[in-house]
Amino acid sequence: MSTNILNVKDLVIHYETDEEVVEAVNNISFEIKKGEVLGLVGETGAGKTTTALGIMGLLPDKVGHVIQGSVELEGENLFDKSAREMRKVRGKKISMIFQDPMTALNPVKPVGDQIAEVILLHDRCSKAEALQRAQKMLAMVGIVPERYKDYPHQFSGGMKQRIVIAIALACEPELLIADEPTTALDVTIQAQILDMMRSLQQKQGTSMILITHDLGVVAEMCDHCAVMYAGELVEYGTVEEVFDHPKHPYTKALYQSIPSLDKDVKRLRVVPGMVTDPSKLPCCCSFADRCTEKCEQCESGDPRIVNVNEEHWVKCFNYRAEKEEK
Amino acid sequence: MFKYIIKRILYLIPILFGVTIIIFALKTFTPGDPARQILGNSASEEQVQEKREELGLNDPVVTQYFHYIKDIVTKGDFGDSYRTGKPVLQEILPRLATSAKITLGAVIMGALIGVLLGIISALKKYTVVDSGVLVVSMFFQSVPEFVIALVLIMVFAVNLHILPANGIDTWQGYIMPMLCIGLASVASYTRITRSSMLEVLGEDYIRTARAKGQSEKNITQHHALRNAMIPVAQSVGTSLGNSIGGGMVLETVFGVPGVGKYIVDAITQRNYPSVLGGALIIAMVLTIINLLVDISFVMIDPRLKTTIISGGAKKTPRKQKSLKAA
Amino acid sequence: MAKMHTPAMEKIEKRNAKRKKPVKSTPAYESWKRFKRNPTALLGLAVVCILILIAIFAPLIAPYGYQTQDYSAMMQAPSSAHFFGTDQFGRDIFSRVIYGARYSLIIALFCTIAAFFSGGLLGIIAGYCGGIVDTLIMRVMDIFQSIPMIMMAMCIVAVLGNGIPQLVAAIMFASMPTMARNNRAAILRVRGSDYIESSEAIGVNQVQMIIKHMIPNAVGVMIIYFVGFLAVSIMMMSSMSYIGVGLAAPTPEWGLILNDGKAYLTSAPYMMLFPAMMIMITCFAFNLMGDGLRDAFDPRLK
Repeated sequence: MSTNILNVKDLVIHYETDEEVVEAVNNISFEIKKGEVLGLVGETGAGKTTTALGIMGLLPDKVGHVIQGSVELEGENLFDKSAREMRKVRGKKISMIFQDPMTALNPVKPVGDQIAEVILLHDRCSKAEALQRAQKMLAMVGIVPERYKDYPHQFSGGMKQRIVIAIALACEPELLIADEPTTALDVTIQAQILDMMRSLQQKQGTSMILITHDLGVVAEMCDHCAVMYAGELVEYGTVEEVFDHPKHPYTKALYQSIPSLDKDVKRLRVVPGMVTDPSKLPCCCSFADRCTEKCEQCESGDPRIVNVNEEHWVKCFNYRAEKEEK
Repeated sequence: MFKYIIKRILYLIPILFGVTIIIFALKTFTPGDPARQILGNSASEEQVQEKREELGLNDPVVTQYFHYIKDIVTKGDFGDSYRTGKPVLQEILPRLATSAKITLGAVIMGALIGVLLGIISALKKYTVVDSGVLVVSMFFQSVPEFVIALVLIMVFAVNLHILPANGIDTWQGYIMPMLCIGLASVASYTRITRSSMLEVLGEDYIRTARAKGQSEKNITQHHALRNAMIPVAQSVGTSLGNSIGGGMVLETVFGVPGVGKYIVDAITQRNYPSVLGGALIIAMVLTIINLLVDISFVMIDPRLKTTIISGGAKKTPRKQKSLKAA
Repeated sequence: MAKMHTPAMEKIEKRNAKRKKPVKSTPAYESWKRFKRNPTALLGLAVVCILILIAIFAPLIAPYGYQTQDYSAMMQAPSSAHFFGTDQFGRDIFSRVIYGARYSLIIALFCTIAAFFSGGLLGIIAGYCGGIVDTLIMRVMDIFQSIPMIMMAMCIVAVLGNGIPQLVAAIMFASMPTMARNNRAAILRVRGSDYIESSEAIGVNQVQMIIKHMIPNAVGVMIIYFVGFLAVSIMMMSSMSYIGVGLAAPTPEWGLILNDGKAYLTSAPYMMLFPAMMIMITCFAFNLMGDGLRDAFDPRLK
């Protein structure tokens, strides 16, 4: 276990407003080994981004609260750190790539300065040196280094995302959190960006959490896969395991909603119903409402985690029953 | 850039023509016979007729307008004061300098205090400090300047005897007029800065900066402030117009020999050429200042430069919020 | 799944338990709910209501007539007989201030209505028609706007002379550009919004569109401007009267009362104190209320 870069344990995050409490993340635990890529999959509103922001310590002020749990980076609990110490972690040890590259860059600063900023913050070097490294980073993400003086609005969406990636990787972080890095981009650009991220990740040996709702991306990029629903992890395992032998009804439903080239399907299966409102979670299994395989038990209690094998677990009564029958 | 400035200057011309038409229309509607007013009641009917002929008052209105414009453009002749018989321009120019000093000082003071309060308010949003700042600044905005002026005079001139109530013979005389005009504009700067700051602080690039590990102080200074200043700079023009208007009243209250007092005195003396000439000169000055303000945005916001150079319509990057009628 | 119970949740549950029933939630009701939560706005509303009552019942409240001169009691300091004292003609300042509420509020109302029917209407037309009409109206408004509002008003009064109708006309003309701009923006924002586009797409006809979608959505913003402009016109009116360009004596308008007391600032400051306070309170109350309305109708603007 010593090779674990990140240990998330029993993490609970709520958003509290005057009107309601949104239970965004409910008791999730997972870990990431060095150099590993974890895919975090789920519908919009499942709590993926909240998990990421929780790890970064960037939950919105006053509204977002970590209720319980710990996030350990290389054995140190990040929640115990002071604001000052956390700043040293962000950008240096953990970086994040955000969903929308269009708005992630400061419109009134040249991009070179924005990359150099993170270098200056964490590595002792002169401004000129930082700018040089920034140009190197630009070259690394496939942008002509001479353009470091240009402003964000002079770049296209894909190029901006490259710059965001350059910022994230500039200090060679241990962990990179990519929050739907390609959702806002054209399909053709998506592949380019993902390829680049994959090769840079391997080159730097960075661990990565890749948040997406695109299962194809997970299959392509990740080692492990975690499926999130209504703030809970419902299934976790290696990509092969989860893809080939999905156990949770939600995971199965997700696969059935992907168009397939091999089979001729008239109509795609959709997951029935809407995402459960995270401010009004039921006290039983939160997927019960939409589940096609639900039984009585599902509406009375909360399922526990059941191991399928060494590296694959699922949170569902059905599977447990199935297992006990055997 | 050069082209843009030329374009803006050309755009100025129809506006100034429009202003002359309004002023000329007012002039035409003015009751009483200017010739009679110049000559006084003792003059005979023939003398008046002669004077009318001399002033061109018997010509058709359109011809009169052309003469009016011709005099302004070729001779800088805005008419002669009924009271002194001297050209209005000659009387106003020295007063313009006095008014400019006070207005400029007031605007700088108002903007500095307002922006500072706006930033504090935004950083401490929804706290007692925030609402306190908002209520106090709104008080100064909603109470007419002359009432504040009266209170200041009662306190500082009548009771404490530390500032003169009248005139600007010493430098102390400038303090109260500047303070009153400045305080009235503080609120609008505070509000705009606060809302723009809050908007900017919610932007994704601020989150990016946090993810880099940048400190809140630097984020405010280097990332938020410059972006937040764009709408503030855009509001300077409007605010300046209000300050000049407020200045007219205050110059009268404080007995400052500026343009405002000149015009107000002229109104009470029914000295119409001075009123309308003065109004025209102020409108011109204001229009030119607005042009300068517009040009200075381009310096702050690099995005505008490209839209302008590429010949695109002059568009503000952020949808500008419609301000309260004030 | 099992809930994590937090103090925040308990607080909300407690409050929900106290509430009797979920009530119907119309936009107007929601706005009122937001307005009600804002203590400063309620204070503003209360003061405005009191002012309106004072204006209506002025003859009952005021112990003397606003023009009644009493040469036996000139320049008296505040006392039980004359709460706010008397002026140089022996007129009771309290009565003048009370009647002043009547004049100030009514004139402000006239000014605001006039401004809405001139500038406001132009703005709505510009915003609704768009195209060449819009450009034409707004360019003309640009020209008007290059003369500062109060200067424009004073020039008009200079030409027309002092008096109530003249003042209303002056403030109306002077405020035309601001009014037009604000109302145009309000209409444009509604016009440009997605729900208008989508109802256009499903073929809702023009008349229905205006009645059902545009007016209800723009009306909130327009009420905000209306209340805001009441304060602006009181400000302008009193400023102009104070410097002698506006109303004519002996109208008991607050600015004019101040103008009367100007000469006695050192010897009898009470003559100016009370009317000045009335102006402050009135303008501030209208602004507090307007601000609350803005938050209530349009929380995004906050």
